[in-house]
Amino acid sequence: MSPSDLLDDFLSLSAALTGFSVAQLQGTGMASTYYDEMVATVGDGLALGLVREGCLALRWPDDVEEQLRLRVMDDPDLGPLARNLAVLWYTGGWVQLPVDWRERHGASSLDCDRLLSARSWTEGLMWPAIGAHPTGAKAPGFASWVGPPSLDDRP
Amino acid sequence: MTRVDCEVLIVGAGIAGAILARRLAEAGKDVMVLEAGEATGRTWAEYQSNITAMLASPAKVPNAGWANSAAAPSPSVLDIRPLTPGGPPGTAGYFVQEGPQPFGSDYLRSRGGTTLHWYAHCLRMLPSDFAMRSTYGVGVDWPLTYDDLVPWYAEAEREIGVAAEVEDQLRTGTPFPAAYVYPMHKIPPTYLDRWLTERLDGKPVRIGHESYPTGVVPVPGGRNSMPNPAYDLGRGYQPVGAVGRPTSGLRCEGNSSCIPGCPAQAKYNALKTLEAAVTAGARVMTQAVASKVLVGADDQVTGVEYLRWSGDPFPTAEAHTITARRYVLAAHSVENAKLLLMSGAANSSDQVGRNLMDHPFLLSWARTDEPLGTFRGPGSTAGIETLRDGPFRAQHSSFRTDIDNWGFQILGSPGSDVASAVYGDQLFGTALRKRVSHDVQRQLMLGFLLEQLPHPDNRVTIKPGAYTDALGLPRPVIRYDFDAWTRQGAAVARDCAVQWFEELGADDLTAYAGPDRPMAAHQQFTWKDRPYCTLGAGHLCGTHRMGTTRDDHVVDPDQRSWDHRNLFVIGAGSMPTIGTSNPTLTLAALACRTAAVLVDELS
Repeated sequence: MSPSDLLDDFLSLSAALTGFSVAQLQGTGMASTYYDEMVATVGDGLALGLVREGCLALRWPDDVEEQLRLRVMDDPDLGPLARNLAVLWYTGGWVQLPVDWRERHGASSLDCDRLLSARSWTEGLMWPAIGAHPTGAKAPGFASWVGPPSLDDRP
Repeated sequence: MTRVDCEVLIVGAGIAGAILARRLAEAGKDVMVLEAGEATGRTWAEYQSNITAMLASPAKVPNAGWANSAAAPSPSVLDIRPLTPGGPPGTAGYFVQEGPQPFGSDYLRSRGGTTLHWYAHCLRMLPSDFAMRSTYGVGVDWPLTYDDLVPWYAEAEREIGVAAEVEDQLRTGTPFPAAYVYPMHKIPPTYLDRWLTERLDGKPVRIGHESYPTGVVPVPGGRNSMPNPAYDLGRGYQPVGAVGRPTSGLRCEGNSSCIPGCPAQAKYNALKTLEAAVTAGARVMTQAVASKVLVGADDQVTGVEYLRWSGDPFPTAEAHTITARRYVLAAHSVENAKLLLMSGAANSSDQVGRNLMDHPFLLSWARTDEPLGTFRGPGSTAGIETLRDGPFRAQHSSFRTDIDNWGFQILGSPGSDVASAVYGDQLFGTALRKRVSHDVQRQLMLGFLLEQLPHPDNRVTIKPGAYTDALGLPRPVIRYDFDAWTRQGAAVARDCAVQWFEELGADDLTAYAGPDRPMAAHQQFTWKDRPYCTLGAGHLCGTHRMGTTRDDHVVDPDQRSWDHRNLFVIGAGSMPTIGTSNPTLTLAALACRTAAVLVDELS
């Protein structure tokens, strides 16, 4: 798999995990950073395994949720990674993996609760998800808070 | 006359010191300011480096992103731990916590001081706040009245640039001179403010057997809004932009980040006043920790010793002495007290460090059935302000109620909502997105600022042999507790929240015990068999209180030391009682008043 194919697959899986579109994820500019961070933290094999299994699930467009659950979310090795990936996209932060996972796979010093960067904070998907902007950045302007929130719950 | 290094030496480059420095320098006086902490925000780039550090901080606590050093350490709320009754003191971080309650507030030792991360609420104190003893038989009276401070409040509101409407503030029981208007119109109310006003304003709320109207009132903010053309008898007001980039921050841009920091500098900070002071000729020396106030045989202060440091976290320092005609300590309530105690100065009353007060901050939170527009705009733009005064103050503390525009941010939201949806409810994809949106949009957070009375045992001390910082200077040792008057106030505030949530049909989620209680609330107490937990509000007052007699007061009504007549000790530490308003505006008004005394005296 070429690096660009890999990143495309990573984005497709990320879109399914987060409820945001591939275009929205690309718009954050964080995709390769997040994939590299995951590789650095849990290693190539598991990161590739997550993308591979996740993309297999995406082959059933009418049944993505169930397939993802079966192949990824309920898997004791890939499930915790997938959940961490969703949280990483939403918050910009990595959360330490569960104890049993760390015991099975060995623990990296990078596997700790941490915010990646100022950039990952401002690009967190939780902000557009709640109809707001990241606190401390992307200011929407004077009096922008006066009207009702514009909530976009669409996938 | 003895040769001196400067006419006025000011210790501390926060808002109080900056106000004095500016006025004295503009009056042609030779002013030197010593600042323990580092230089910050002299240029736009320097300021933005702190903002980037703030964004990258995992916990967006008040001091996140701002300078911290071993030589001039600041307390951090992340260092607060629950204390065990009868157990050892808490020694994590800068404060030494002797309890029984851990002191929950921080401040910032840096050029610009704690205004770098203040909320910028600028409520005046109420007339009765200055006369608690004579009105309600509790606490003490001030040596000044509200009327005495009216012109100085106006001057402080100009210096800070306050946005508010007089007609709103009249509803809080604050009187104003007939022609007065604030420099700027109020910050436009948030969607949440309007939502709550429609549903709660004017509704009765019971305290005991009495009924009071609920008043949802916009809060005066020290942040740039639309100038009021009627200000200053029609001369208007020009908002002050960012230091080093004056076209930035001329209006609040809605960064939703007043704490830990306003990226635009639309919110006032003392860097702006310092800039004016420096332009007028004041000198500011950073990384200079005042270590001793020297007192001569005639009880006059003869100099201030300071340590000029460099290097972090292993600083080296050189001791110097600086002399002046007048000395001003403006280093913050705790640091002023610490320096005086270290020096054995200004304390014939034995009141230095005593009567430490804060606003115990009690949260109540609920989920509404409609979206509220959370996480948009300044942290709070309105409060429930009609219970700040009443006959009940003879029995228990009053309070003001912050209406929080940022949902459950103080509990970790929205990140905590994401985590519980993903790890707890195993959601992903569209369901995750909808859940986060739904839950965060319905978060209603009220924060009660409870009054505390002055108590001699709530105090700052030092134990030089036992607890020192990297320069070998003593760390503040704090004893702190809440009395029955404040605890009952907490119970009443909580009961008001229950009534308001019921009126709104909101689902009360408040938990003061067990796993759902706020992680950061380390102050816990039981009152009438019910648990409560509170946080600090960052409103440290009372450690060098003012009064008309030297026996039990540290400073006189001009904030001049009773013991050393060429020494002034200024700031919220001079406040004899705390009232319910956030204290910065009042300490700024007192600083303006003392500046006038000094300018007059030196002319």
